[in-house]
Amino acid sequence: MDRRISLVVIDDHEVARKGLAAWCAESDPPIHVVVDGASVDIAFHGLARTADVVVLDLQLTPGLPTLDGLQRLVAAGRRVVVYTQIADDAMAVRCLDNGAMAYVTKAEAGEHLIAAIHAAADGRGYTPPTLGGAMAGNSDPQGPSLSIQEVTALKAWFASRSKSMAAKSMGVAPATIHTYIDRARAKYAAHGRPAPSKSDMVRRALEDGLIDLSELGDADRP
Amino acid sequence: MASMTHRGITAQELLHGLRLAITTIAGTVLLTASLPRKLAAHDHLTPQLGAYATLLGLLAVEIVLLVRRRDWGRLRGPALGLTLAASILSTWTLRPEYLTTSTDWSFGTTGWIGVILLYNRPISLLAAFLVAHEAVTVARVLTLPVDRDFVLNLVAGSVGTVGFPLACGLASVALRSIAALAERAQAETAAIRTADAVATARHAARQHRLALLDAAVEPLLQGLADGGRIPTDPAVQRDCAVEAARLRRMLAETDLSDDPLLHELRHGADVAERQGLLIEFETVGIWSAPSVEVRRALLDGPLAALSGARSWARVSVIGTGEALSVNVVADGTGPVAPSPRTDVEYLVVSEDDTTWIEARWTAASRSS
Repeated sequence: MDRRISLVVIDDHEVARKGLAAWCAESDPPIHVVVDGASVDIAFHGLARTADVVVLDLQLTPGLPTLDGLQRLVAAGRRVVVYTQIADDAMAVRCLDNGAMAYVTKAEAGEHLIAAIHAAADGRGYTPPTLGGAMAGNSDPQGPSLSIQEVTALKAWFASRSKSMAAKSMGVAPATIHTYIDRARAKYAAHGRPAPSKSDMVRRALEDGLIDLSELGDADRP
Repeated sequence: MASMTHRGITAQELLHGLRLAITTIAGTVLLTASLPRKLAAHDHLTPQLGAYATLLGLLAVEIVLLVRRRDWGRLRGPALGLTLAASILSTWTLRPEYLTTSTDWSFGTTGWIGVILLYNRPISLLAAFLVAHEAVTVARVLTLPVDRDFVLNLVAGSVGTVGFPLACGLASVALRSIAALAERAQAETAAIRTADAVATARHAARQHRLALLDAAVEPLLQGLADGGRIPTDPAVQRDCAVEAARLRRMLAETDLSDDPLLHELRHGADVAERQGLLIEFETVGIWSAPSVEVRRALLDGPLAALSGARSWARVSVIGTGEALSVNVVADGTGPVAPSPRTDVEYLVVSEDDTTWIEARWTAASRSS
């Protein structure tokens, strides 16, 4: 990536916003926080309108987290990385269905949030361990159908938090684990309700040769 | 011991026997009444036969209800009214000189129909009914010029008319209270027997768990007591931690919990947390509760590994349609014995100083 990534950070805690801005400044390639604030509205004004990625805290007001903000941003064609206090597998899967590029819990933010922002800027989904576990454990019969290897890789990634240990447990190369996880992620992107961000991810997965059209049987469902 | 329960008479059976006896008495009294033998003595035969037929009809209904083990219920009031009407009809159409004599058939029989209808009601109702029946005859007697013999006859006859049925009613009150006592005694016996069985089963389960613990805890405690094993030895400390976690898990086995697997895992992990370990806990997916043996196999390996963690550990449970797995990732690991069950696999992967152990229960063994 040869240009700076521009980012909008939406979180109701100033400390979290400043901390994330500090991480972004140190990242490579660098990420520039254009604007940060406590409301989804800030993403629709001025420079923020053209920012590459939006980081969104699901729980902006005390109480239950809502998907309203995510839906508004995704409908406007934005690439959103959900960033949350809550490790809830059902909520994680709903965020994917609504077009989130990634779901990163605050506990794993240090290791995975920057990588998730880079991937989102590039039109790719990103799967931290908690999200991998949520995808593997999703028992919804309407959900995308994953292969046994994909489920095994997601579970091993969730349990061990190490792609190389997951690879050892399956007797494959770490790159293969990557492929299994990314394929599963692409299947989730191709599944369910349409969204611009999901189309981006499917297109990238096709370009990367992760999946082919025959595996997207349900991608064109209304 | 157990065969005695079947021989205990229930209150229902006792009360049914009582009703059978009362109905038999009433039936015998009514069928041997003097009316059929003394038809010629009556001036107005039709009302006499009508009254008799009414009481016979009520007796027939009682026999049907008795066989079906049904109570009179809402029919009781109308039936009592019919009985008294039959008494009035018979008494007031009788030739005056036959009142309270053997020709006055209804005087001695009506009360028994009252007993049939009221044997399981408060005794005061039966007494009131008998008094009403007696009053029918007394009222008729008062309209006539009476002498001393007549009054004596009335009093003597009343012993049979009111006294016998009332005595029968009193006996039924006594029997009903005995039946209630019998029922209570039987319930108490059953409760004691159930408590006994529960205590025996619980004792057996506890013995079984203790036997499982003894195998490992006893040599450890003996070693500590005779100085063979030194508390400062890290291996001894680890063994103690493993046994403490197993003990906590086994105690948790008897708790009632929505998810016994998670409940026992949390108890086991809690021991490690108390030793200053930073423990992360995460679950995904769904699963149905496995049996206690499977839970032991799923938890023993991961908890043993957990005892070797130095500063942090991550504990996770993943349930998918095909498999249920319990995982521990930690910096360092304790010795893990092989899985005690063929349907629960242990997988250990190490890298640098991090070890991941997975205990996996696979779908092949799950009943579908």
